[in-house]
Amino acid sequence: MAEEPTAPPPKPRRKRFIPNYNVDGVHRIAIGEETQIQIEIVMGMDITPQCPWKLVSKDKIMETIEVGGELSEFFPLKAELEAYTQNEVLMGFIEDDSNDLDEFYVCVTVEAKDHCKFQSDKFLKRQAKKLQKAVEKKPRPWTSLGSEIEIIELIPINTRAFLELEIKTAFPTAYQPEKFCVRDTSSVRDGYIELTPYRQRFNCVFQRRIDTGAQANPPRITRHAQTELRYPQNVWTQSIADALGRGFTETGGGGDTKREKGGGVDEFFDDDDDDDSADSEPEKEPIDEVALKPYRDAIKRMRRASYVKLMTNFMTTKDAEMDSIITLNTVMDIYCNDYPNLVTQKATGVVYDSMTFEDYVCFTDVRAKNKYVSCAVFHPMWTGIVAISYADASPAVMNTLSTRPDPIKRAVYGLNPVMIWSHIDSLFPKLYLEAPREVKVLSFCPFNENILIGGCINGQVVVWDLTNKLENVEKIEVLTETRERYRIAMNAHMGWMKRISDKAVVPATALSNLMTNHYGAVTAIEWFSPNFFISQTGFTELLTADQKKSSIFFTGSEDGTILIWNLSVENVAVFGGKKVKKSHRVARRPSGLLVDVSPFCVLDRVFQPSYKIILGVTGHPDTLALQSLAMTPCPITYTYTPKPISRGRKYFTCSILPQKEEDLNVVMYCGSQHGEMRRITWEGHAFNTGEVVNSEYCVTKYRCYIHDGIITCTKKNPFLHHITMTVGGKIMAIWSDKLLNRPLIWKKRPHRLTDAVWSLYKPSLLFITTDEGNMETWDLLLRSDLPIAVQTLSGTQLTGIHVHTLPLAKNIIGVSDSNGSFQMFLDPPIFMIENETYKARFDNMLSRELNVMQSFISWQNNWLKHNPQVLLEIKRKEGALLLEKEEQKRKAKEAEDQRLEEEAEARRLAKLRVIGPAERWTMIVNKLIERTIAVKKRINKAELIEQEKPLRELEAQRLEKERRMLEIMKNQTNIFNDTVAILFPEAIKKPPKPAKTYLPPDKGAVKREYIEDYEYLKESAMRTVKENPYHASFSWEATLSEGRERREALNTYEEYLNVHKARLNYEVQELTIQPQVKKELKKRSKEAISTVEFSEAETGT
Amino acid sequence: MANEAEETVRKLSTHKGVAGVIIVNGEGIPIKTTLDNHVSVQYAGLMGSLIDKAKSVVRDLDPTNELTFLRIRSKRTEIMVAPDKDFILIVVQNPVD
Repeated sequence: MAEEPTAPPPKPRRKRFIPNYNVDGVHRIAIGEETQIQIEIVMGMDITPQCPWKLVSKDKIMETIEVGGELSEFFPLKAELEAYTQNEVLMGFIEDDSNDLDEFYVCVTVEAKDHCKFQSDKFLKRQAKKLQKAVEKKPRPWTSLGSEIEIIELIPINTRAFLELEIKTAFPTAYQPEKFCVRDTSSVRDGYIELTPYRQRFNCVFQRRIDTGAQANPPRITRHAQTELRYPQNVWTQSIADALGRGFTETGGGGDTKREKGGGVDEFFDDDDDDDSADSEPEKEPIDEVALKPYRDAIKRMRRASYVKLMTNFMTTKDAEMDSIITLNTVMDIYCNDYPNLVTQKATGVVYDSMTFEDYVCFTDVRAKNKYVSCAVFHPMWTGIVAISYADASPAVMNTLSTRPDPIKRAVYGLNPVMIWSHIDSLFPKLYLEAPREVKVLSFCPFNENILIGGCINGQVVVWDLTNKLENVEKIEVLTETRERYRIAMNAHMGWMKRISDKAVVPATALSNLMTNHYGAVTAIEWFSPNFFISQTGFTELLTADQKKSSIFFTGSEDGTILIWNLSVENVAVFGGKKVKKSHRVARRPSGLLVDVSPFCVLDRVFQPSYKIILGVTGHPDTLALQSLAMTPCPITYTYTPKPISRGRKYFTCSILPQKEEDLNVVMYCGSQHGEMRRITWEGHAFNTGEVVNSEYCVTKYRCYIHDGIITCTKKNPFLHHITMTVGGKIMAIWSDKLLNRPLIWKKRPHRLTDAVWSLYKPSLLFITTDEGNMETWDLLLRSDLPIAVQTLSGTQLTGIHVHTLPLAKNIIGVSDSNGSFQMFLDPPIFMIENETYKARFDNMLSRELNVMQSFISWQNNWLKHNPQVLLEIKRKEGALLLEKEEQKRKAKEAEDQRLEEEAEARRLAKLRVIGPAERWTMIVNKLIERTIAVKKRINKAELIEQEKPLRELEAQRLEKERRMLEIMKNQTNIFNDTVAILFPEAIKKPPKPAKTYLPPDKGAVKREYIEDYEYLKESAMRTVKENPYHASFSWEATLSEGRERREALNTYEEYLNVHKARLNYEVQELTIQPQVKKELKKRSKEAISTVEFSEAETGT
Repeated sequence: MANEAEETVRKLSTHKGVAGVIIVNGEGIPIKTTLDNHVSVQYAGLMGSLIDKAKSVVRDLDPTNELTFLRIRSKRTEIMVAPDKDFILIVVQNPVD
């Protein structure tokens, strides 16, 4: 939108500057052309119209005056010019077209000159500015001419509201160091920590809350004045009144008059008086007339009409109020004391005032000393019954052991307690179940009340049949008196006998076959829906209504397998192995012995799984060390059916809800010991693979590492089966079946979380235990960032939490701590509210979260699709890393190859060795043994190879694929560069490199500087040379005389030399005749020549 | 005229649990009562002083305030006192069980 151009008020135009030269000392004179040339002030040559002023030499002007005399134009100014002190005179051309004369200003004083110079400079400056202004346009406020609409139309405008984005990282990459802050050590629980030199177990003792009344109430003051009467006479007017009444009666007249005048009221009053007087008649006390005076007055006054009226008025005003109060009082007691009621009737009334769990009972046993509760399960059909197994270690607790106990000793002599407790007896367990090894996990069959399954540390599965066991223990034998006596007598005689069969000890009914069960500790047991059956090949099928319900359970183990077991007696034979041995010795056992024999006895050591799911990937040896497992729970409802003998518990019966084919859910959530979460399923084989137990590698839907510790708990929501919760490390996560690869919600807590459980009343409610001994209650509907309540349940770590599954008026939650005790707490009623709407609301909330997540993911994908360079960059980096790894691998492979070669060489050398007959014999025998074994085992090598073929092909294909991938990866940088070059060619062009130079940017300045330097140096050098001339003392005479002396010194031997010369000449002549002396002569001549030369040189100088 | 006051007293005394009604004059003398004479006198005297005290308490707390009603709850009875310039109406009632 263009703004209305507001016309600014026009600035007042600046006044045109006209220089003023008409001051004192400035004269106007016309100068002829000759003079102009003479004094060098010709228009167009020396001066221009732009700068008409010039300094003219005074001498020249004076010259013209001298030359021209009176004719000179300057003559009138002669005197003034002579007085002028400076050498140059300022003159200015006056532009005037009116006449032909060239008129000039001449400044004849210094002041005038300065003034004119200033004026002219100013004028010039003005002119220049004006010119500049004319050339350079100044920016002015923008005025709309209508074109902006077209431009604005082209600008994209955000019409949609901004999107709100919540971005969560996949995992907290590092723990941020927390800021240190000042804490009041005395106000917190862990203010001081004592560091002891030895290992010590700490138990946090939390302070009990103490209510102290510190109200400042005033001291009690007993002041008798309080009750002292204002009218002391009233105290004893009782008798006086009586006396008064008596007086009246005695006097008689007063009473009569009263009756006449006062009417009914008085009559009433008087009647009373009469009665009283009758009572007090025996007292013959003298009447205190003074005290009676006011009474008499009052009575007198009462008779007055005005007084009566006054009283009636008073009565009418107060009547209504008093009447209503009294009526209310008759109807209800508004002052009823509620406080005792609040205390005594707390249990009956449902008051949602507290979120604290109340202590109920605590189970501890000496046999479980120094052990942890490894698992605790509430009975699905009997209330208040809990089976607890104890183990030496707990996944939630980190132990530091100085010495490791001998595992064999531990297995043989150690106790493996599994106990069944009832909430009514916290001192002794009801049953003690025997187990061969430490039991890690327990599970009651949800549709058979008598079956308890346990998973051992060695991978075995234990089955206990609890039929009638509890009843046997609880049964009190009622004996007649004689029978009792006899029994005592018998026992007295049998003092040597030791009772070996304790009814409270239950041996294991069946143990699984060691060959086929897990080879790691069993960590999870889940029951499969009884409406479905899983065959030996892993196929699931729906059982029709008339078929018998199955009882199938899954066990997960640390060894990375899930086994599927079918707990049925019918097809024991199918399991192969050995048949049930029949005792021939006793044809039939007495019926009494067979009463409590379980039908599952036949499974003992024969029981084996029907199918095996391996939590790994084909071809890779590493599997998931499973810690927890979650499956869709069985669809079973429990109904209360009272039994005649219910020893402090209620009995329920189960009914299995019918299911359809599509209700089957074979998706399992597996939490590992290393914090990995996998969602898996299995498919089953179409054929029997021929293994003892058919096995299959699971189908992994996705895997996610989000937990920073062992996933101790994986549990499905009891209401919404598509929701699963996992707890591991310090992180709690909620997963949805509809969201892949990431959790729906996850929260990180400040403490390690050890276990969690969903509430059975409200779908959004869950309880989490921490290793600080706290239990956190979360309600995801109310708030999902923090727990709604935190309660400290124990001084040590809590290791597990379990909820009582059956409805009770006050339901129970069980918590185990690291002291090996199992504490039961009563739920506060606020956590037991059931409402149909909760489910829908929670579902809504989850679908909303899901929607947020999914929309975010799709947005992210979209963004990445539109911004591929980011991804490319990431990929490039990854590729570089991969390349590096590949290089390392290649090197390792080379080393391996070399090693193999060497080995082959060694083998070849060994082969070259002569094989003795004995060795050959052993080789033949070995081959024979191999062949025999193969025949016995029915192994056909060719067949094996044939069977292996598809696998090998697959492997080859995989390798080929990897190779191709790597090739692409290697070329990644090239591909990337090419792509960039095509898409963004300008990105490739690099800015020209600045030429490396030591020269400063301004060459001319340097040159000038150097030249100046040179000039200076030259000058100074010349000066120095001139100032210090070199004077060498030299005289020709001295030199000549010196030379002459030397000559003379040499000439002293001249004669001697001449003699020699002559002799030499003579000898040379002789030489032609006597060649034998030639050599000698030659030597001599040489010497002679040198001397001659020398002499000649001397003479030369 | 006096009949009206009399009638009111009777009406009040007919309510369930009412043990007695007393009208006390400004000097602390019970002028109408349904109770025994000496009980009435005792009530009148004690209540008179209590009312004076209560009045002064209310006035001391807030000079513009005025006592209009006084209820004394005890384990056995409740005493309701309606004070006025010239009279005091006292009702003694046994509360409902």
